[in-house]
Amino acid sequence: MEVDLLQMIDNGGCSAKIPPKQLEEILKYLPLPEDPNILVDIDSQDDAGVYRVNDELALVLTTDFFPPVCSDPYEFGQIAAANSISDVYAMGGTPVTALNIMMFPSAKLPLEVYAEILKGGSNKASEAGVRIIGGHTIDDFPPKYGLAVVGYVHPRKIITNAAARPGDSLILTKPVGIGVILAGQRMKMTSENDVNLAKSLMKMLNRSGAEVMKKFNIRGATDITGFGLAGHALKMAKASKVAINIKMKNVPLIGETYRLVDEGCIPGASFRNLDFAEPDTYFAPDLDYNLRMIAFDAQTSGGLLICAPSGYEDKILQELKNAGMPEASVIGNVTKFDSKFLHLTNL
Amino acid sequence: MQIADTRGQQCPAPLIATRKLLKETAKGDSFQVITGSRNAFDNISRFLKDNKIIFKVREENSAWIITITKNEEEQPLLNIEN
Repeated sequence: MEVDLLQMIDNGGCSAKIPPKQLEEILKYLPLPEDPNILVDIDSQDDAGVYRVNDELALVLTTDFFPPVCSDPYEFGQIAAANSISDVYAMGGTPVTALNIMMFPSAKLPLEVYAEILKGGSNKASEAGVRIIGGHTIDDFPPKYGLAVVGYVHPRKIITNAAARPGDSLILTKPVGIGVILAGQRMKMTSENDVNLAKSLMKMLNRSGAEVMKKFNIRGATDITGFGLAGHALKMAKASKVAINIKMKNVPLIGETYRLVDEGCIPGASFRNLDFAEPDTYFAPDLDYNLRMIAFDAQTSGGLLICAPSGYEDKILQELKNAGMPEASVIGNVTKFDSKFLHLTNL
Repeated sequence: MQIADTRGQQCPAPLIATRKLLKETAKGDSFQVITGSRNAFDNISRFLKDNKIIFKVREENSAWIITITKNEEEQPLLNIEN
């Protein structure tokens, strides 16, 4: 059976998210429930919601699903599951159980494809120690897949978007460029090597990164997905009421990402993310145009952006490298808020 | 004048064509990019504005015909005629 899932879509993975500007408009009208046990809700634009069960236990709740990011159904399942589970890691939690969310065109695709996607998801969930205990499928084209995940966290050990503090250094655990590489693949501009690199990064769980965060008692972090490095950094800066400074030349890139962008391979999602962040962002006048657009590249199953307290950056970086993230890098820092939440510079 | 007709091509093909011609065209010369996609037009015009590259656009039969002039040096911003 030869099915190429990429032929069915314009925008795969987190690039298919609704534009952030529109989402913000919609969320304004959604009343937030009031309950003292809700420890984290959408108010801080965090990665997942957190609900306190008792003084020792809170539940981390999150869901993500999207259209294919690669041709192979099994790999798509693995990537979608890694991406869904990542939000629990970003909150300092331990993922425990999950439900499958599937949209599948049963009249257009052989059911083996359905089974392969689920098998890939199940494989990644097992690797994370997550039990998939059910799910729901709707007949729909193109296919979409993801998980609704539940995790545990100690109520006083939650890691949030809202805990970046002036003086912190920012560490990014995975290189960026997923959106560019995937668009380049559709345009037949990307080498097979770079596509494989992107796929292995998307499949990589953020578990080891989360373990390092726990070891160092990190309180501020987020994971980088559809709104891009700059978009997620901005959300963190707003929630924490600080300024975040990113030195784009220190941001590790996947393979030939820079060359592709220089040739015009900039996915539409980057422009939408730029529109959203622009009013709150200072762009250095000499900021390289390609790096500016890479800052807004939508990632699927991207890395963790960790707020490392001053003096600990080197130790944390070393631990991350030892734990299988050789490209983990300090990419910027946190300062007191001054007129703009996000500052993008070359260096 | 070189013309890249990208109608029917998926994003970001129209922007790729724009950047390619921008690199190949001599300073002061012009070229055209045609797209049938509103999104592609928006992205191209954003790219050109951000890079202070002068262009004109004409909308015709659900297509955007963008005439781009490669700067001699830095030039004033956008000029839309409709």
